[in-house]
Amino acid sequence: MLEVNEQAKEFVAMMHQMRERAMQVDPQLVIGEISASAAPKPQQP
Amino acid sequence: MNQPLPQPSKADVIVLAEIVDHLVDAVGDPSATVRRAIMILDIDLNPGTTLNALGERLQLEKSVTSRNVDWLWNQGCVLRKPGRNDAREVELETSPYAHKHLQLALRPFGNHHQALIKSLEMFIQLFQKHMPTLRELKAMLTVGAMGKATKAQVINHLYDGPPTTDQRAVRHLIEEGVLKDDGER
Repeated sequence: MLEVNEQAKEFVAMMHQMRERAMQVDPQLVIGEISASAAPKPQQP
Repeated sequence: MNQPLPQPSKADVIVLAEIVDHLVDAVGDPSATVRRAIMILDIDLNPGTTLNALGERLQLEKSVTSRNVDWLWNQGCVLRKPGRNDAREVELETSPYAHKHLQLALRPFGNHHQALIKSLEMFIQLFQKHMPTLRELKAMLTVGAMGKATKAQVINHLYDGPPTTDQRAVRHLIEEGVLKDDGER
């Protein structure tokens, strides 16, 4: 069985939240707030 | 330390997957890279833009920008027009067909191109070895919506491409660590 990893889960949650906020507020605020607080960190090789 | 974001519902993830479907319709190929989807969204946001301006905004090398715009033009999703101020320059805009599908993709994002572009850029950051495709984004969101899924279930939700292509997409996601395979069926 396949499952998404933690970083991918975080990405899905973030994309959803960006979408929800984009429906309501100025997109610059959406991008600034969420990407600064919860951007997924690149995986270490 | 940042609090983890709450996980969206299955229905919410399905909305995200449907956005990918519209992006696939806009570029006409699920094998298109996510970068190409970002480029066409940027062109749609900035009609009349030039190659140089597009490359600067997306921080891409000129050769990469040019190659990808050639691909989008060959697909019929981007139009090239002589510059209004300088005929030596070429201005870019989305074709009516691509624009229509981008509007459908953008509707759940309140028509905010930048928010969707930023989301796609974050998806690219999950990958170390290669540039992901829209098919891989759809596969990942499919597993995300289902919680746990077999490879066959994921492939059933993908596009009507060759099975080997779909299998390769799933394999890439596993190799990159985006999907975990517990070995159970």
